Amino acid sequence: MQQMIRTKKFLLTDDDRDDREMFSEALASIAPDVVYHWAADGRHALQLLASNDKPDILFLDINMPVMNGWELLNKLKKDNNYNDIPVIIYSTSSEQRDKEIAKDLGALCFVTKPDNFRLMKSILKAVVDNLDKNSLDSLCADIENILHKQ
Amino acid sequence: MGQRIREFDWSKTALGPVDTWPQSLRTCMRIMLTSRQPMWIGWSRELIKLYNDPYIAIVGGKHPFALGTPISVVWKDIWRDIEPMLKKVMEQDEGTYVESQLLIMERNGYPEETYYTFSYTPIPGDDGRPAGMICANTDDTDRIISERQLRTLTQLGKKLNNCRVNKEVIENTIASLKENQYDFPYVLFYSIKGDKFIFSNASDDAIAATVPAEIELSDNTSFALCLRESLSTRKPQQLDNVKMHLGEMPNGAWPISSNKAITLPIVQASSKEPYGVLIVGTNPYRLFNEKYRSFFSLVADQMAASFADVRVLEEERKRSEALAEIDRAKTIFFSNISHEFRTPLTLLLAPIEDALHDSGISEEHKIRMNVAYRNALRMQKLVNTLLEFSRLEAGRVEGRFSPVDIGSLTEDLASLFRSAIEKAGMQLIINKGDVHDTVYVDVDMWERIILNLISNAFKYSKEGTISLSIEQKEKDVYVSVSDTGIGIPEDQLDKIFNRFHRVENTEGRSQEGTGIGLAMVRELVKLHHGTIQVTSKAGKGSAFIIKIPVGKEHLPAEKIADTPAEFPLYKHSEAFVQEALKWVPEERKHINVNEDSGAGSSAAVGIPKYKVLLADDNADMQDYVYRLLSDQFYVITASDGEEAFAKALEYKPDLLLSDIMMPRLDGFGLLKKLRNHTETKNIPVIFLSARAGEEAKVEGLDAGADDYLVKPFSAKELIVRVNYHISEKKYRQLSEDLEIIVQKRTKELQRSNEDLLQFAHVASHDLKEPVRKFKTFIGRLQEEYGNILPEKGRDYLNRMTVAADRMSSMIEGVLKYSSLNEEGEINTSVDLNEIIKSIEADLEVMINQKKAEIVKDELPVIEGAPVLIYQLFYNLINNSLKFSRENPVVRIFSSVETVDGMKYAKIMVADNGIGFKQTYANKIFDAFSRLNTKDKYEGTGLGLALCKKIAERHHGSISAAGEEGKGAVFTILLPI
Repeated sequence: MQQMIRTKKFLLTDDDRDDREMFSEALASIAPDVVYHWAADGRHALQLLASNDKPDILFLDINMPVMNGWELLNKLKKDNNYNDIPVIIYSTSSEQRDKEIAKDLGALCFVTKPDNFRLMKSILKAVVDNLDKNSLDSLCADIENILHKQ
Repeated sequence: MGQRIREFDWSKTALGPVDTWPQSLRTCMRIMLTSRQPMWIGWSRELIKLYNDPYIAIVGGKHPFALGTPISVVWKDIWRDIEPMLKKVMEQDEGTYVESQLLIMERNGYPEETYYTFSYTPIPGDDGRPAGMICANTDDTDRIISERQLRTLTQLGKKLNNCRVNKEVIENTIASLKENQYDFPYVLFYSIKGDKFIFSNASDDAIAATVPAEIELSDNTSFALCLRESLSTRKPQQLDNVKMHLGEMPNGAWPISSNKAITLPIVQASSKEPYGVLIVGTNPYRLFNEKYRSFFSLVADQMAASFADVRVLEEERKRSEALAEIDRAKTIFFSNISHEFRTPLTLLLAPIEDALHDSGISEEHKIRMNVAYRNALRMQKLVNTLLEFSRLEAGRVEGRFSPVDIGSLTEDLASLFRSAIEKAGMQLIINKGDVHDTVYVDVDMWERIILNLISNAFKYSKEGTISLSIEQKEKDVYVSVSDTGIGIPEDQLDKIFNRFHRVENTEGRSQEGTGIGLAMVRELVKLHHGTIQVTSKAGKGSAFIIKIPVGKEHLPAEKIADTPAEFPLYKHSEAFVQEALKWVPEERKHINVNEDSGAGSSAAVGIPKYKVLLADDNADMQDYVYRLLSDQFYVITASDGEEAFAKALEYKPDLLLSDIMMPRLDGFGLLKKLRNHTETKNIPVIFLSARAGEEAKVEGLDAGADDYLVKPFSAKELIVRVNYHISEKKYRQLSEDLEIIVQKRTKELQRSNEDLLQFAHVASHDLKEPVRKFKTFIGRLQEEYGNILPEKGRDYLNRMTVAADRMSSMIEGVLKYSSLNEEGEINTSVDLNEIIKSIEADLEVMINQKKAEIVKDELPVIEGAPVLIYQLFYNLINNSLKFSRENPVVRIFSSVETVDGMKYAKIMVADNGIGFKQTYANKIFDAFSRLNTKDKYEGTGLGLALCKKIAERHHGSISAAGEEGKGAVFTILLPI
């Protein structure tokens, strides 16, 4: 089985500097060749999307100024140019309601931001591995397992 | 016809070929053919017939064979009639002329009644003697028959005009039809009673003998069938073979009978009930065609209409009889009752009169006595009036007539009212005219007449003048009483003298009265052989004019007393005048609320008196109630509904006492007005009414009154009710206000609770962020730099992590707790066994660690939210494991308990842990309450609070029992 390993690109949209820092450090530590872009809010994210290659996966926070995660997700899914990009909602919330909304709006998974650096690394590793497999079907289940082992 | 004649082969006839015809024939033929009038020529001894086109209609079906045929052959059917005429013409050379001759012609296959006006004129031959004749015709058939029918209808109409009973209708119909023997050889009528036809009448007595007297509707004879048919179709039907069904019938004007009859249903289109069936014999010489049929229909309709009229008349009569009966019954009833009253009244009046004349009575008592006296007098007047009237009606009263000076007598009587009239600010004008003849009256009756009229004039006038005039005109004396009062509506003018009639809703001084007064006056005037009339204009005034003849010739001789009577007795005047005085509004001191500072009041100083508004048009009533209530209340009075409403707005009384019958606006109207106005809608209302009976009471209460008192009522009753309703209203007002306050507060509380929870929710949400980061960074510190830190440093970091964890779980707890208030949890079946199993799985680590054991009964299935139920038991079991000593055992028991009729699953979770003091049994369920220090046992203090909330959410409960050092038992009740 020929596995196509090409340069992956992640886009994180999050207004929190610390969270972004931790994300990029975790990502760099487990998959240094992944290209990482970030945006501070939805509008910023759209600009980036317009002027660059499509990322392989989008991580969206919910609570952001200007345009929050829901609005951005909705916009992306309605746009034929971007609606095929898999989206992971990456939020502090652990509420069932938010998980349901994410699913309804078309996100792939809902990941509650872990409070543990190691966990963060494991999650990102799972994402990378699944992208290598060329199938994201089991990604959410894998992340669930990782989180649950807590 | 000209062509036909030309083409005819005349050589075969006695006329011979055309070229042999004499000139006269030729000439006449030309005349005939060009004439527009039907004509024919008979030529030669046999009178061979020639005719023109217009004549074809006359000859009917005999055309064209009639042409060239001897007349005796053509007119075989009427030969009898025309032969003598023709003979005259041909033999005596004389012309004939007849008008509207009846000829029974058979030209269309049946014998026909026809009428013709025609002339036969001889045509001379060459030898000068008649060789033939010429005939000119006019058809009169239609005219004659139509005239005949019209006569019948007119006659019928006239005769049926004034029928009063059905029998007359039948008789008159038959009599009218009988006169037309041509169209109606005989007539019968059968009426319908139940399911039988009954013979009623006929045009001939002989018929009555032969026809069936009664026929069942359901009979099978063709006669019955025919009758039934005509009724059901409501159309004339033909009855054949009359001889068989009804016997020999007269032929009428004809030599033969048609042996047919027509049955005409007599029924009005609108009614369901038929009156009967009219059976008429038919004219044997006429076809029963449309024309004939419609004539019969007209007859039938007239008869039906006449029956209907009779019916209407009958009903009218019954109705007026019923009304008269009611009237009579009323009078008898009243007079019976009145009779009963007389004695007690006398026994009332006498002692009161005595008391009034007693000098030893106090002023206060005298006032009360006066009220009693006046009202007893009033009752007496009413009673007497009724009795008198019923006697009058029965004809049991006879006047005694004496000669009087009518002018002075009348003047004196009227003057009795002067003071009352002037007190009311009105004028009394008396015009005594010159009366030169002696007038005979019954003085007592005259007194009553005049007093009644003047009293009425006063009652129904608020201002202006009352005029009385007496004058003689020829042989009559005219006495008139007129006023400038409210007048009488035009439609009531003819009713005003009727017994018991009262004009509704007047604006008079009072609504009191029986309606007998004027009826009585009329009867009394009648006894004097006089008349009384009224003219009036609503809003302008009325005038009553009596006319009586002078002298005594018209009066029964034995009733005359020639000496003037004792003059006058004034038997009735006092009652009348006293009554009138009461209609004049007095200055009432008790209207002014501020002035009446409670003189004689027993109310303590400082306690405000409640205000009562009294509405009643009877002044005595006002006084009475005022006196009753003024001790405890401020009493405001009003004499009619409008005044009461105005005063209600002005004074805002705490209660309204109201009569129902009042001028201008009655009790019900007043109530409605009050209830529709925001400022007065809550005033309690008590009706005071003379109308007794359940119905009246219900009507009053239905209209919205708070209570209903029937006059006469006791003083105590009144005071009790007034007090009750005032305090009721106050109390209700108060509790209403309280209600409103409570509602407002509750809303506020709810809102603040909601706010709190929302705050908690949001705060917790926001707190999660920094806590998470906190933990993350501590984690990273430990990972990346932990090994270079000294022991102490690592220790610090550990403690920071613990603290952060605590904060985290607290926040979790608060979030969960606050979110529990949201609705929307779906209730499903929850198998508690499954719940416990998954809790065991989740707590596996701790269970193994503590070497704990969980023993459980078979648990039931309940209705609830699985997540919450899970949480509930998780917390309890978690607690038991947390607060355990060595070898913890958690036992879970299950049973069923009934509390207050409801079935519950009783789950007990018992452990052998550290337990707690029983005194804290309730406190432990409080939010954030902890019985142990934080470092000894972890916990947010929210766990049990959450359990309690969950249990209550499911309409269940949780309770705890414990013993320090021994263990704890938590009992959960959940409905099943």
